[in-house]
Amino acid sequence: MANHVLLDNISHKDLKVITERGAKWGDTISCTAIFPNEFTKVQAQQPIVFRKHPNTGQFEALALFGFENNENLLLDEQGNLSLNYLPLSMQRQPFLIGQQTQYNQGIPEQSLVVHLDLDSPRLNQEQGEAIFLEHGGNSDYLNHIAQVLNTLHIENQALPAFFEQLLALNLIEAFSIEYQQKNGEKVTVGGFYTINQQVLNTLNGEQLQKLQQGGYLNAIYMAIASLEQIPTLLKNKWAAQ
Amino acid sequence: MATSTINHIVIIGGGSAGWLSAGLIAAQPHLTHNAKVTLIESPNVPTLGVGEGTWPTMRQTLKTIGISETQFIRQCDASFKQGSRFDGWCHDAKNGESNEYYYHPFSLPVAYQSLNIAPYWFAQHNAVSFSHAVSSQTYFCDQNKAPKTHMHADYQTHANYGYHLDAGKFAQLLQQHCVDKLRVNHIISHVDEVISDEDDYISAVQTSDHGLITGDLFIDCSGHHGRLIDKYYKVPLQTQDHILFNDSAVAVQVPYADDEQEILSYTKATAQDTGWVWDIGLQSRRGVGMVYSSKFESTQGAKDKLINYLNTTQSDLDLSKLTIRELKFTPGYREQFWHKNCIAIGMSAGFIEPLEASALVMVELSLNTLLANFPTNRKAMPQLAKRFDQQTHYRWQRIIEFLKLHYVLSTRTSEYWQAHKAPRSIPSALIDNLALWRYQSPWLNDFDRAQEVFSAASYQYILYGMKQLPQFPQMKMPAAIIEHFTNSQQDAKQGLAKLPTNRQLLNHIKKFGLQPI
Repeated sequence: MANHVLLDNISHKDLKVITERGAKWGDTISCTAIFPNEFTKVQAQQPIVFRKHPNTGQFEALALFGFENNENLLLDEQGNLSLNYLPLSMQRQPFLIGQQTQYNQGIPEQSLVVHLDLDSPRLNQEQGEAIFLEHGGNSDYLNHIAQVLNTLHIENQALPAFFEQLLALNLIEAFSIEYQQKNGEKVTVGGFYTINQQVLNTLNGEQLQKLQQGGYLNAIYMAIASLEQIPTLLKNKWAAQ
Repeated sequence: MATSTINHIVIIGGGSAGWLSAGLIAAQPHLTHNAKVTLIESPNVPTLGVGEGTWPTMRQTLKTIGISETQFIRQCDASFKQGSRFDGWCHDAKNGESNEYYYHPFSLPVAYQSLNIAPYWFAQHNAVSFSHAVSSQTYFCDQNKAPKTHMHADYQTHANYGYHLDAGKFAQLLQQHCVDKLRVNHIISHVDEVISDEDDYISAVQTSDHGLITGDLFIDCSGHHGRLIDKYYKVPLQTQDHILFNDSAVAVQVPYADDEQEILSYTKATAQDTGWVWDIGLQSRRGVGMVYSSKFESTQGAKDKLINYLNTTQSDLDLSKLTIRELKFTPGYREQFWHKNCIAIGMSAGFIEPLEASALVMVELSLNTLLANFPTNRKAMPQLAKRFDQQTHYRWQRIIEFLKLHYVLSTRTSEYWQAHKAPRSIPSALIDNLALWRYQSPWLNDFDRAQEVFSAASYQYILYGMKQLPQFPQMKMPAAIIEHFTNSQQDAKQGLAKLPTNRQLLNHIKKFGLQPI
């Protein structure tokens, strides 16, 4: 499956990355991970839901594209994906954050490095953005990617505190999306969580202030507002049926 | 006497019983609104470290007190317990080897809420054991699976479960939580003297370092020596060693061979000629001990049997590194648990051998009874005390009968086991029930209290685990019943595919924790 290697300007000097989005570039996905600082932009285009990560059981936030595995209801008829805002977790592709252990006078130190997914269909030598300049320097594109990866790392570190605070205030509740197929069949997609608005409405000034100071209050309202995107996705689903 | 309202609740003793009492009482806002809670603990009293097994009730207890399961698992060296397994209880071992065992899982038999499935199992008893036929959990125990996955929230279950825990660490966690979060007043001092008023109600205790501590209600959690109930009020212990002979134990803490060794997801109880051996898997070690009757076994003999057992479970065990502790106890319970304004909870109230882990659950049940009958005024105490005593006596009697059941059905031939079968050693209520169960299956009407300690399900697991089938007309098997049995097997299959092992889930919780929802 995934074939992740450390990026270097010798083995990968001629590689280019196709930054177009669409089905043929691996965007037939039903969701992507997002972070609270992205909620404002995401809510204008997609539903935001929370779920427990299947490996860690820890909460994460997702922007939804569809309701079934490998269902992207925002792809157009040609299979292209045009989003006003592309979440960081997609912008980074096909690069990833890797960790490297370096020894400083015998003491192991973890440092972050850029990894590359060699199996990505975006990689080729003909078209797209060059990763390296002719003489081995970083392209502007790679510098941008490094920034994206760095932001992702910081957001990732900050995410547990966001959920911790929401959970401490009982602000998260389980919910499922129920919809009807065009043929009348009822479907329930479970395992999602969202903001409990009833609890939110009963928070006192001190609690709200704390959420605001953490920068979480805006994200909370954006997550609530984003649920209005569910009917839009469903309309696309019916249109395709 | 200035006032007869209850403004100060004083708990004597800082073990699991004392801190559970403090936690459960202090977590009731309607009580602590008017009353404060103080716990007085003697310095340097080693906790006994028994009661390392809990019932599923502990999940609700911890939730009520306000401790998260993740925190509990991390701080108490705790692991998941899904029931008990009894090895070698039916027959004598052949050539020192015994392959026969049965389970008493925590999950109720399939369809228990709507019907009694046991009679339909009789026809297939040669093909599948009772617990395997009616409880998918039995299969999880066979493979030391956890009762849930990392996607479940704190206290949420796939299969019903309790815990194995380190009692010393448990008391520490409860203490920290009670003091920091529930504002329990903690005093470390010796109780030198008990002071009572003209009605012989305790008005205060004199402590060596903190002077006089006055109170309105005193809870004696001081362990077997019963600082208030025994030493002060001299309420006698009703000994039960004529029914359950075990009065001694030798116990040892055993490290795991490596980080991969399976952690048992049940308490394993292995029968010996003069008692039985418990084997409890915590996260970091096993707790193993032999409980026996001093009338039938010497301390050295018990140690030998314990070591023998250890050698069968782990081949390369370095015995020289293990310290075997010796324990003595008098099986029995108080004539009264609530006397005047003093209530005994925990070992001060009574103690019986650890079979079926009744110690901590009795603490929880007693506290729930107390909370449901909490006195707001001293004048209400005599009536509440009477009710509390009746309820608690009933529970002790049922526990003793249920424990006795494990012995009387055995065909083991040693003197100890034969003595257990002597009719004069068997409570009459159990004799009656056994006579009834020769012709029908234990069911709800046999146990009619709202809060029974052991349900008919538990009796079925023991009776049929020991292959005590009633003389029963062959039952036709309706399709709906076949479906219940099939569903149970299906549940087992699905669970086995999805559930991590006990050790895997515990490692995950240590690393990531579980979510509160």
